[in-house]
Amino acid sequence: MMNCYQFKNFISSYIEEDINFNRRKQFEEHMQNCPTCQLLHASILQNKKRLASLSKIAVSDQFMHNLQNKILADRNARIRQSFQNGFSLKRIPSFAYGFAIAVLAVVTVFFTLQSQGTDSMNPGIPPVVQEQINQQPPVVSQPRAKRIVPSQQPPVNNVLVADDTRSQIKPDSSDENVQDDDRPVRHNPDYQDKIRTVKKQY
Amino acid sequence: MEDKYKITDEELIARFQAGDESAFEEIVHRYSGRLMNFAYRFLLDREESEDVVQDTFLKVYQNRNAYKEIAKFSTWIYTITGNLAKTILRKRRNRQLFFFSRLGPEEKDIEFPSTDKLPEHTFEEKYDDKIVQKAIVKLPEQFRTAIILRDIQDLSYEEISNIVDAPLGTVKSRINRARLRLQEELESLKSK
Repeated sequence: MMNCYQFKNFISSYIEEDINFNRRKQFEEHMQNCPTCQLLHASILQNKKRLASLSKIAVSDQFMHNLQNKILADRNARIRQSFQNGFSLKRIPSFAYGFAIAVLAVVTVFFTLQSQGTDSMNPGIPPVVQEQINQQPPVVSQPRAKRIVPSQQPPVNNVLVADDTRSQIKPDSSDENVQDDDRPVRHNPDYQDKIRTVKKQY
Repeated sequence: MEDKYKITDEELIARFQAGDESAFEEIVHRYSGRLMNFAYRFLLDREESEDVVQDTFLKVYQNRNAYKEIAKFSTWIYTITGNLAKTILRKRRNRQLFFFSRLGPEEKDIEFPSTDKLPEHTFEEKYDDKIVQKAIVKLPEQFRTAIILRDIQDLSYEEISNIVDAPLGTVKSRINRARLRLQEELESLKSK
């Protein structure tokens, strides 16, 4: 059995016929026994009709004209604003800044890595020369197989005189006893040229 | 409601999006009356209501590409009008607070449209309209929106649910409570 509270809570569903048959029968039974709810039902139905038949409010005759003016005014204002603004950093979207920074970072990292790579590799310089640059040059004897013919040697006086202390070893030109085999590799003209090139680089 | 039109609202807005300005005029023609009624019942001020409707169409014009055919066009346009009307109400409230005035829009003399266009309306009907309108503006904002959209604008529960962005059950409950509350307000107004 339905009570008044339930009736009030679902009266719109009853009016809109949004309930099943059994529920509908319960509503009708309750209304037969409850004059208050019967009156409420009638009043709400009447109000619904009143609302639906309320006088229609029409827009004024100038409505379309005013609307067109508003649209034109808005369009002109936008155009004027865009001219006034011209170029402004504020108009650049924020993601463009981020993108520019990212590109800059990538380029920087690329060039840094590339320069490091060329430094460490030193293409064209044999490891022996590298060692001579970095350390006290060790006396490396040429293998016996590679004998340097004395006549092809540069003048004996062509001594590698470097301003750094590492190249203080000067071959004694008068020492005729020194055999070709024991001469250091750095007296080889090819190597001397390479050493000079490397030194120029530094 | 839309069956009487050969072209649907959604087709019209699609044409307008494609650059056909005459489609916009047709939209204005179709909706100006309906939206004016909705805004007027909500705000009870003719000038403000007309401003709201014009601003609605201006927004439609500016944001024509914002409409996607996932919802009905009517739902979209009613949502815009509802939001603009609520903004007006908020401004009114702020103005009231600022001037420490107790005289709100509810207490203002109700401005009624000219009845010249509707000669069939008798004095009694006019009086009835006045009482009903007074009772409507006394309803809380949520109930007012729900009952106007359902009983005056004759929209479906689903459409109202989309416009007010509330679940269907909530909308049904709001409409039911709004009807009961309206009945109470009418009784109290008639007894005065």
